[in-house]
Amino acid sequence: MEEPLFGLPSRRDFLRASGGAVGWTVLAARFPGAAQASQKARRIAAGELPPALGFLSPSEAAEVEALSAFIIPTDDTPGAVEAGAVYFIDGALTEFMQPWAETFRDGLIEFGEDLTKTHTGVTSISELAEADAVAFLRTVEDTSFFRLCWMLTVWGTLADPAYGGNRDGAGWSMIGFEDRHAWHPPFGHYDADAHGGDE
Amino acid sequence: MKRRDLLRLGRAGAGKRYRDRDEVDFVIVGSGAAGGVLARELAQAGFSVVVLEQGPRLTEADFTHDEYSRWVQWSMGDDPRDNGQTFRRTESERASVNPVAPPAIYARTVGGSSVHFTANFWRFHPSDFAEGTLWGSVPGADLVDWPITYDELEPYYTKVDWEVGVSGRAGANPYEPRRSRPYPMPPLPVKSSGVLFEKGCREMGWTAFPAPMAITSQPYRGRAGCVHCGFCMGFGCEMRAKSSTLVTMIPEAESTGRCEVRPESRVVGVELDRAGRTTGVRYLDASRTEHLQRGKAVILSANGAETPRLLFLSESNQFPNGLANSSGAVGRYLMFNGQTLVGASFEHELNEFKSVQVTRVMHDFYEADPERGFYGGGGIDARIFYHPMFWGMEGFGSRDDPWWGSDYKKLLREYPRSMYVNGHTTSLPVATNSITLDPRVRDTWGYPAIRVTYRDHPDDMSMMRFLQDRSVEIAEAAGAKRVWRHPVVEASITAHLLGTCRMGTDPATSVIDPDHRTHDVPNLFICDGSSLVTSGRGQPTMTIMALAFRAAERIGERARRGEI
Ligand SMILES: Cc1cc2nc3c(=O)[nH]c(=O)nc-3n(C[C@H](O)[C@H](O)[C@H](O)COP(=O)(O)OP(=O)(O)OC[C@H]3O[C@@H](n4cnc5c(N)ncnc54)[C@H](O)[C@@H]3O)c2cc1C
Ligand code: SF4
Repeated sequence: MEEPLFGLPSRRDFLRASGGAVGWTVLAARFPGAAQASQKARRIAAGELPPALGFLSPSEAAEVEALSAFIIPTDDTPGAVEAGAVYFIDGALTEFMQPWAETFRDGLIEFGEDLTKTHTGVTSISELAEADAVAFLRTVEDTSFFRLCWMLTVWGTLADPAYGGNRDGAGWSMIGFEDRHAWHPPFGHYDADAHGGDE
Repeated sequence: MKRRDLLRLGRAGAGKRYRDRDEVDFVIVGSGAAGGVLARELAQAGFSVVVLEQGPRLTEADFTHDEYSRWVQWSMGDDPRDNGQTFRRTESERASVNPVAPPAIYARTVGGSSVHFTANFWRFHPSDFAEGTLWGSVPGADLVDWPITYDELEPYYTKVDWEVGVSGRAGANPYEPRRSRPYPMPPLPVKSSGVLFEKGCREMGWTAFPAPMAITSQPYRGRAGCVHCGFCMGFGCEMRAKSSTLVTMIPEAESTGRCEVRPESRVVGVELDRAGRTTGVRYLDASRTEHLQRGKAVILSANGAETPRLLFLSESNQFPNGLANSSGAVGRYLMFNGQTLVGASFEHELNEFKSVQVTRVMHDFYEADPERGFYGGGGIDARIFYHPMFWGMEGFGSRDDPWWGSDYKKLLREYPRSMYVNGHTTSLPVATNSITLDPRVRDTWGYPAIRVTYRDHPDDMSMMRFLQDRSVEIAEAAGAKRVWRHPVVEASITAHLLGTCRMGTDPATSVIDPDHRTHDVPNLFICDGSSLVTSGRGQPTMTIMALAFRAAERIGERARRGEI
């Protein structure tokens, strides 16, 4: 069940993404509000609405954003934070993944509890030194919550900006992709000298 | 009237309108690769035709580059969550729904899967039609000859080239089967992946050639040339450059004034009279109201998954095991084609996200070779495989690769320097690989869901591993800095739905005769991926369309002679 096919997710990677049952149900769901979700996100992307949270509280969003920064970090190029992945995640939980929003929240609470259990007095991943934070995340990377967070961060960084993440195409430019209606040869380094024949 | 309905009306084709009670000459179920060709050919030949298509009529304006809507929201009506398809590996297992992706992927829309396919258009080779004889029997499979030869199909392949629109360079493939005419258009411009693939093949002593693609490389028959946007695979073409039946055959069928393509019409049963002849089909319109469309003959072109389902749904006292299934072959011999994937990244940018998915192919391992110790053959191409979102999800193949953090980000940023070497292989016809009705799960229309039972034959697995090894050699010989393999595993998802109503001369072992008439019902025909006797080496659609051109001619002749 693990083959990739025509750009489709393989089961392995959806499992990797979502860590089993929770993720499967999330993905099994119809996403009834998807059309509205994208309309709202489109307006935010167009600057007609300020980026606003729907489901996550400001402190929850801050924690999810901090987590997303460990998944796709910011260095000399933008990461999940600059891409606004947290807005994609919040949008998903507000609308088309709304039935699983509370499960996500429970996961976030549990994540915080685990953190405090292993690091007394610490309530946010951003309070740890980077190496400690990474070490802690390694211990929870197999949880449904982390994997769901991973999947949504990747989508929130690389999906079409219409869904609230990948702000101004920051995720795309980070990986070197550009969405255009048309291109002309040469396309890359290796075909630079290839054009001019009958093609 | 709702805006959506207005839009839909506006999009309905310009063709003729029939009423349900009008007894048309032909009712065609499905407007995909085969159905579109049949509609055009029969309408142009003077027959009255109604095409019933379960999906809506989408246009260029509906197509986007939006991966999220395509694969998460399943914007081409291929949502696994409403058709309920189930999968199991063997007949002894209980099948279950894969909620993430349906086992049988196809587009429910006017034009069918020709709308969102990648458009690789290989002809089968003469050997594909005769491997029962050339290779002999394979334990665990029913490898047999086709009742027709390559030479019989050649004129229709040429029709596909010229009337549907295929670009390529004749003579460039050293193994190319005889062709009566060159391609009507030159190949698409080579991409960096093609140049590197050529280099890798050359180093290995093999021959890469320009990929034959059902895509316009220049303006053709009123359509624009491809603008290299890069979103063919899985997406509809906004430029009408991809030669789907939606932009080629279907408008031409409608412009005869004799053909109506009726979208949002989901056929749920084939009607049979007491004499054992079909009188038409029952279908549900968008509001799920049932209608009966009458016709003198019915052609099923609903694809290799839906055609057998319809036959099973149409069981009766006369046909207790499914309509036209006296042979028991309906739904059997399902063939997926194997796939293997090797990733490769290079020093400089390739920018594979630009332009069509594939520009170079090789057929050096097309023929089965006893020296390998197993049956099978295949072709290899160079391509982009992932758009950004799924590149992030699984572009790197191995589970051990970093999947978050700064090392993951480093891999992500290899995107413009990466390409894939993609192998496509034979699948043996195995009787237990099948489409049946699921006894428990129903689709949202209330009908039993498709159940897919599939396990690759051991020779299929060997062939995949063999071709993946060759792919690695090509990537390394091309000078890749990093090469990675995506695991070769037994398949449980496919976009190639082949063999489930196989053609043959013997009514005891096949469903349709060489003219696509079912052995059991004289005025019921089947032409689509289900007609194939063997799988080819991937890229079956050129052959499906060639069969449809041929079928239309044979069926039309019979109708004119009053033999239907
Ligand atoms: C992403 C992707 C990439 C592909 N790339 C390639 C490629 O590069 N090369 C290649 O050769 N092939 C490719 N294919 C496969 C190709 O699309 C199919 O082989 C081909 O379209 C099959 O043709 P068909 O006529 O048998 O069925 P389809 O094209 O699937 O048409 C069947 C039609 O019947 C309709 N239908 C089904 N049931 C009913 C019903 N009950 N009532 C009314 N209508 C019904 C369907 O909605 C559909 O429109 C690809 C497929 C996918 C999904
Ligand atoms: S690359 Fe060309 S054929 Fe493919 S979708 Fe874009 S314009 Fe159409």
